[in-house]
Amino acid sequence: MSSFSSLLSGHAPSRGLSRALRQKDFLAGLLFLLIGIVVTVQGAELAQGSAQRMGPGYLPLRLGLLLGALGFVIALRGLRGADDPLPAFAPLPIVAGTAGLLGFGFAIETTGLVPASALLIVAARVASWKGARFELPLLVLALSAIVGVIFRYGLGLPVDLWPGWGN
Amino acid sequence: MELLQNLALGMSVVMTVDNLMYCFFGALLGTVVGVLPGVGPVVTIALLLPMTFGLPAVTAIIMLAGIYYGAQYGGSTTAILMKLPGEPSSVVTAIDGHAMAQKGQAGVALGIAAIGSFIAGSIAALFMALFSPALASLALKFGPADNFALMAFGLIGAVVLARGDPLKAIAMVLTGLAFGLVGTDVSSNQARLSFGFSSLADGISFVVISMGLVGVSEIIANLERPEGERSIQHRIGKVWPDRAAFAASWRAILRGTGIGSLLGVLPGAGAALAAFTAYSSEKKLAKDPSRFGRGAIEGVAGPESANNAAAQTALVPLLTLGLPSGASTALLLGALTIQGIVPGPQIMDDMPDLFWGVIASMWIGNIMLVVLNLPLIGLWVRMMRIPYRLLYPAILLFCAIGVFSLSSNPADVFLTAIFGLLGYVFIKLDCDPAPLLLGFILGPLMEEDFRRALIITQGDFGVFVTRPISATLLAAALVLLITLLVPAIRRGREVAFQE
Amino acid sequence: MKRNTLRILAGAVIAAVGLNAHSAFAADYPEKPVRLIVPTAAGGSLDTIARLLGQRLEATLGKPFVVENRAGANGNTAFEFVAKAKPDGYTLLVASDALAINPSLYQNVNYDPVKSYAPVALVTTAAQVLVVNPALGVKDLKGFTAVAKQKGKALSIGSPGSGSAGHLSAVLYQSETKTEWTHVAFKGGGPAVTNVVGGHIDGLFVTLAPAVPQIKAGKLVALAVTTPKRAVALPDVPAVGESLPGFDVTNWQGVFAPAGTPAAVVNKLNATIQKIVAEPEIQTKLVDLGFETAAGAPAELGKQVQENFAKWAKIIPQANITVD
Repeated sequence: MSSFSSLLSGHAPSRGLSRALRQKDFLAGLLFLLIGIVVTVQGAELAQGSAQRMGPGYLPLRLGLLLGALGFVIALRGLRGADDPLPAFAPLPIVAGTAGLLGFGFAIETTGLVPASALLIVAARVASWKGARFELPLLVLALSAIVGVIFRYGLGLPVDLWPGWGN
Repeated sequence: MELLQNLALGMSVVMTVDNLMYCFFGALLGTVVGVLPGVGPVVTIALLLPMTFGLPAVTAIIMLAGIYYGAQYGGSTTAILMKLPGEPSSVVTAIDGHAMAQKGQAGVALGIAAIGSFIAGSIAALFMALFSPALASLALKFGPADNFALMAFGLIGAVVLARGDPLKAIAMVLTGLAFGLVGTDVSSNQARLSFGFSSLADGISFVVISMGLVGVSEIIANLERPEGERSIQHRIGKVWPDRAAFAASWRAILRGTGIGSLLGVLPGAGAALAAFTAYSSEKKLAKDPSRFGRGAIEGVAGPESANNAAAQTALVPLLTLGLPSGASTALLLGALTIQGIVPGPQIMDDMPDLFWGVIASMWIGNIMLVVLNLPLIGLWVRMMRIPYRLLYPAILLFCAIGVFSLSSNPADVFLTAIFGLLGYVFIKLDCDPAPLLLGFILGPLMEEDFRRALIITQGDFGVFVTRPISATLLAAALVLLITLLVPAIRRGREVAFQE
Repeated sequence: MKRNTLRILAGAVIAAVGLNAHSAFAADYPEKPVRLIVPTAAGGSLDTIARLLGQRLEATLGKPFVVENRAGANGNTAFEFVAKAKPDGYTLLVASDALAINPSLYQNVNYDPVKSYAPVALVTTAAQVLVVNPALGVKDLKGFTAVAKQKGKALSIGSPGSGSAGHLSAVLYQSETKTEWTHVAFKGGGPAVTNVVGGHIDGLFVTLAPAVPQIKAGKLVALAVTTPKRAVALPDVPAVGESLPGFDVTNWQGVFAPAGTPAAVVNKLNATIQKIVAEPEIQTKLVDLGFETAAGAPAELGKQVQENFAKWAKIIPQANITVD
């Protein structure tokens, strides 16, 4: 894979600290610890109240602390446990899975359903360009037509098909 | 003999050409729309609601109920084939159902889901005919403290259903709770954990988190595999469930029916808890729990039966107390009132034709679903032959539109992408998302009920142990927690010593 | 070739956008689908009103009236959306009193209930009813106040939500009678009513729809309604105002357009809505939903909003509701 993923998973001989830092459980614990800290900090800013009459921040603060502590334990255990390194991350599939959704979200209200759909499909296909030359344009056409018919006409979803149709 | 009279009355209501037609139309429409990822019964019913204004009341409700359970069934199909759970109840179906599909047993999984749903629906209809008044009063007996205890029990059950390390499962439940807290606090009306984003002020929608964490992450994970190993396989394998499949799953179907029928009556988290509880209990009872998560047929049969039974018994509190169990039944409630039917304790006496007609229609509708879906299984399975590079853009697109259709808010689509990425990280870290999702559903409800219970008693914690329902459930939760944690700690130590 | 097609397409788009500017003539209105923005999720009573209205408007005016749920921030998302929408009559808001209440409840509200909208028509009004569990042993409002004074914080009164009309009715009642009880917020009227019937809390102020069947079944005792006059659905239940003169919490539901919408369009919509609401079939449906029909001139709705806004801006800060 790319240098980006080897940075995360590493193919260098495992040894000492760098080995420890790649353990699944260690990293999972770290993630929980991080989420716990964010929740704790956010919860601490809200009114706490008392156990008898909990304020909005009562549960978040304690939940954050508990999650953070649990994350810490999991991370420690991961350092001591058997070697179980984090597998490589694949950048292209990540882009394929998320970029299309982001593009769709940005486009849907201004361009309407059909261009937003086309954008999503093209972005999604970055992970696999294989297939015949006309496959992608055909896929865009076919899917845009299908969703247009199903959602706009079949279900009557309040969304425009093209820019400027509704407003 | 009152039972037979009531059922006969119900049948006589349904057995008109019009009502049968609308029942079939509803079930068909529900199935078709439910299959679209992200588009659940809520959106479907909302969009089709005005169509029913002109229909007679009973007909309208029969059709909408058809959409409701048809969409749920369609949702299970998507959960099994594409691992895209759009309803809380299909999260667990997706686990083993999709694993079966990957092994080439999609047809068996879909078949068992259909047949299990049908059996559950039939038994639940009978159950309702026998016990409706008692079931309604059961819903009334659950106060805030009892609701809290029930959910605590369910949440600990979620750890049972998780694969792998219990400590990580507990951390995932807590993470789910934290995500669930995002939004406006019911008691104080203050925004929490929303980081100033107005899109987060109302919390995260279940569809968003579930589509992202389970569905989108699965697509990313699939794409990084070489083409030949991608989850949706070209070989078909068995299309129909055979004798062995029935032998392996009939007990699970019956247990699921029982669990679902009871939990469906409880408002709030009942319906979601039903499927999760059925899954946990199948896993607990199995001789070899390690099969679960890798395509155990009981893991599909139990939850699917529970989910359908619960969908049906949820109509009891809806009709007799006006108490919806979720967003889709809330819409049914709206449809009822627009038809001039006001749900209440007297509905069984005042409008027996409506009450029993709807129950009978659900049974008929379930038959129709089986008739409709068994032949469709062949089609679905054949769909798996479509090359993945053509299929996944379509899945993503339907996800995006489905999520957007929730409240016409692009932020929901962005959030889906973010949760997709997070779900991918969780896959890499060996963290099972199912406990997170249950924590997400139950967390906020639990907190609300906990606070309510203490507000009402002015801070007396005794309420959780003096109320019999609450005390029993909490004791059971504690026992479950101990049986879970003891082996986990022991195992942890063993690992440490081996090092 | 390709470029030409593009140019034609672009031209068509521009033409389509340009046309909209002229579409404000009432005689031609509506020329395309109209969006009815609803500030709640699908399935609530306001949503039901919108869908009922939308269907009839579509049948009368010949273009689709599409209901669009933009639930969020207790309605503020939808209110802001319509406040900023183009004032051409193609984006309308179906709102309730939350429109006038929210600016007093929330700090960051980006709309002005009076200035941001052109009121189109009042559609319905509704009462809240005070109901208690029979076990409380209270038969009338006087008895209730006495019990409230005696029990104090031990009396638990629910509401369908913090800042809801039921909650505000309770706050107003407490301040007028110098009582103080424990407030328990639920999510929606259904669960709150069930908790009173089940005896988990003592009572609540709630809209009529979820309460009336339980009252008729004898599972709840209705003590009073919050409107100045008695409710049609509960003729035997007195108004709070009969013993506490001036007490008035009237919910209302109405249709709004963004400020600056041509008067001709507003008037056309108003006339159509008035006609629809007068239809006997619609009347019965609205009454079944717990409402009373109240269609009137645009100015009536405007007055309602103004009065409500001023009233809650005074009461809410006193009661310190945001921090419960």
